[in-house]
Amino acid sequence: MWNILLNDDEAMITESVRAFLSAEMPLERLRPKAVQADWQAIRRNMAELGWFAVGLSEECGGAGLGLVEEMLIQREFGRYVVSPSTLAIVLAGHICSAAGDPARAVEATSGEAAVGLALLHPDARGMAPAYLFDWQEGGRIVAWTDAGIGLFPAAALSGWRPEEAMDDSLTLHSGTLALDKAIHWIPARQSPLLARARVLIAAALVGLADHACDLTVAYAKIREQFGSPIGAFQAVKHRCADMGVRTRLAWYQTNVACLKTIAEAPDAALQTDSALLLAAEAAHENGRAGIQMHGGIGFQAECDIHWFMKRAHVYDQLAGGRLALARSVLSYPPAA
Amino acid sequence: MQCAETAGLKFFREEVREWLHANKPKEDRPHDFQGQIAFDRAWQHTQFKGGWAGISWPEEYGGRGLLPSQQLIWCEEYVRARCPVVHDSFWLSLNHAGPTLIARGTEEQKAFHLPQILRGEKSWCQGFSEPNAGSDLASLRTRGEIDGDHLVVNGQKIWTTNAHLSDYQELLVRTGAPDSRHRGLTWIICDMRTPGIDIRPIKALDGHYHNCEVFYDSVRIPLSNVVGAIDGGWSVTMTTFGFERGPATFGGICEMIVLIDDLIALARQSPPWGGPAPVEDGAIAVRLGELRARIESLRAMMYLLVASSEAGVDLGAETSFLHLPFGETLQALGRLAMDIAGPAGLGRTMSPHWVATYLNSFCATLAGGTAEILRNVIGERLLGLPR
Ligand SMILES: Cc1cc2nc3c(=O)[nH]c(=O)nc-3n(C[C@H](O)[C@H](O)[C@H](O)COP(=O)(O)OP(=O)(O)OC[C@H]3O[C@@H](n4cnc5c(N)ncnc54)[C@H](O)[C@@H]3O)c2cc1C
Repeated sequence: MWNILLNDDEAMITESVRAFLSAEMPLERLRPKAVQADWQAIRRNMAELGWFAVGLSEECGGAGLGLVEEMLIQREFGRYVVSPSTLAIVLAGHICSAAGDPARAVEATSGEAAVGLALLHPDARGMAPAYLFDWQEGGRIVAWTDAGIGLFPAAALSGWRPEEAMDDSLTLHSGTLALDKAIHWIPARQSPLLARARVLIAAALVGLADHACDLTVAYAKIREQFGSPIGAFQAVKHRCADMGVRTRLAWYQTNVACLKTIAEAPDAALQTDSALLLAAEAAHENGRAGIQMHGGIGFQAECDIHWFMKRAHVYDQLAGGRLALARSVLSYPPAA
Repeated sequence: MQCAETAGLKFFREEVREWLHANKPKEDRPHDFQGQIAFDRAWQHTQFKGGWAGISWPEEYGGRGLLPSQQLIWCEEYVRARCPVVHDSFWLSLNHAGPTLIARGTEEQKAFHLPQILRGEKSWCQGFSEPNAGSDLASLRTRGEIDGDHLVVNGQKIWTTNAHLSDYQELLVRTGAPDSRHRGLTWIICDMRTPGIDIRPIKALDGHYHNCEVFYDSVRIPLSNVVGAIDGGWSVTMTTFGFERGPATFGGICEMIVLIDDLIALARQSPPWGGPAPVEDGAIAVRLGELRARIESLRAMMYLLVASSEAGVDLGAETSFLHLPFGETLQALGRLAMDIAGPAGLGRTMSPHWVATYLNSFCATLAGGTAEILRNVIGERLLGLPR
């Protein structure tokens, strides 16, 4: 049996990450006139807390823990719409570790430098068109295709230019990435790293869905119309219930995917793609329903609810998108 | 969180597989009532003799005293081996009547009833709903008057599944004042052979007789059959619902795991009337892929319920979560099967399996609490929204 009940340590990780993020990276930071926090200092702080290296060996500066802890942290990052570069940093550590380069693994997860996360076509080779999230000029890049995952120097990127991101909580660049210019490239068949990355994306998507649900439920309890809180109206209550159900099912599925990925179970990929499909749908739908349940304020930039909808698209595309995920889920044989 | 199936559980699964393969009934379940009763009893008795009845029930009542995870493994393998329907006349006895007695019954009630269920001798039904009390169960009116050491019951129940195939009933009656709502209800074990009970089967939209009307005319039930206290039946009812909306869905979920594989296989074939395989259509592929993913997530939720019950963790209202997505997923599966079957779905003789699944799926969002009521429960009890 796959026991997905959180133990005390795991519950504590979730709690402490959430407490840190709600203090240091509250969603209010994204409001139009918010005072800009020192993201670099916060990132360093996170690195000191060990969050980027939890899954790495001690030699690589890690805590020797595993994918479960990384998943719990990524969900919280999703909840607070933290930069996807945190995922890039975690993966950069793993790439260097898999390449037998502990020194660089330590450096990559130190939080000193930002790492951009790139979106490539799964079949890309050679000179690949790339979209980069939260990449900074001169900074390194993590990118993957179906063939493998790599850490790239800025020099591997050519013809880049800034784009205006739909998700305006992050920066977007387009460019061309030379796949043969990686600092380290880990072929997919040699390492479960790609599979692990997908579990982490599912976790971040669940985090988006989860926080959208929480904010909406909280609002439904305090906003009054017709003399009662709107959450007393079934049309609202039932949508909130659906948000809760979607979130939980996607989360439990992500948990099973995580355990099966660790165990390299034969159906691990089916479990992970199922988790991604459900988590993306939960993030999209909770994002949409969340805006709707907030009424007019839900449409405004100063209201925090819209970030989940926007970020959902970023992670959904990184996971391959709805149709590709669905086809992938269908491609696996029935369980033996 | 913890990985993997232990060697012990793997061995258990193998054992279950082998036994089911060798012992499952070779003939189909008959269509007539008497035939069904005989078939269900014989099959339950075979399972009992094989040592597979009440896997997680206490040993002193004839169970095996094993883990809930082993019960779930049995369930998965039962369906995979394509054994007779999960929802036969023993399903309710095994999945919520028995568990309710284990949790809330007296020593005598447990010692008397539980072994009879496991041996395949006595099956149960549920008499909660009434013509004017469905979703609003606490408004029910069937009366129970105390007379000496008996409760005398007068009134009517409806939609009682398998009343015509059952020996006992989870009966909920009003013992308090007419307006006492949930404070004046009593949960009592009713012997369906007691004089004064009249059972009338009702034909359902799929052509089968699942449900019954049950009339009670001065039916005398010993007070020793009360589970919990007089007027304390609501909390016992919540215990019953806890099982009915949680672990009792496991069989149905395991069935869906097999159904979706069958449906994917069907969608890969070119339809008999020509044209490309349905799965080539992107819209069908998305629905089918999402359905498979959803069913996997229901399985994940079963794992959570099993793990929490083994760890003694109370998930509270969380268990009532499973019933809502279970019902809606089954309904979505039925509809998608019809879309994939196309014209072949128009004939019961042409696609018997899928037509039956489709027609039956309409009850999945009604029985055991409607989808609307479950959303109320989730909204209020789990998310804390105002009533
Ligand atoms: C196949 C099948 C098997 C069954 N087996 C049994 C059994 O064995 N024993 C038993 O006791 N009962 C059984 N039932 C009965 C079942 O529990 C009831 O049908 C169900 O609780 C709904 O009650 P109702 O039929 O009176 O519908 P109503 O309560 O009249 O509901 C009608 C509609 O109104 C909606 N509605 C009602 N109240 C609200 C509300 N507050 N908010 C929003 N919507 C609301 C409902 O969701 C539904 O859509 C079975 C039903 C079916 C279909």
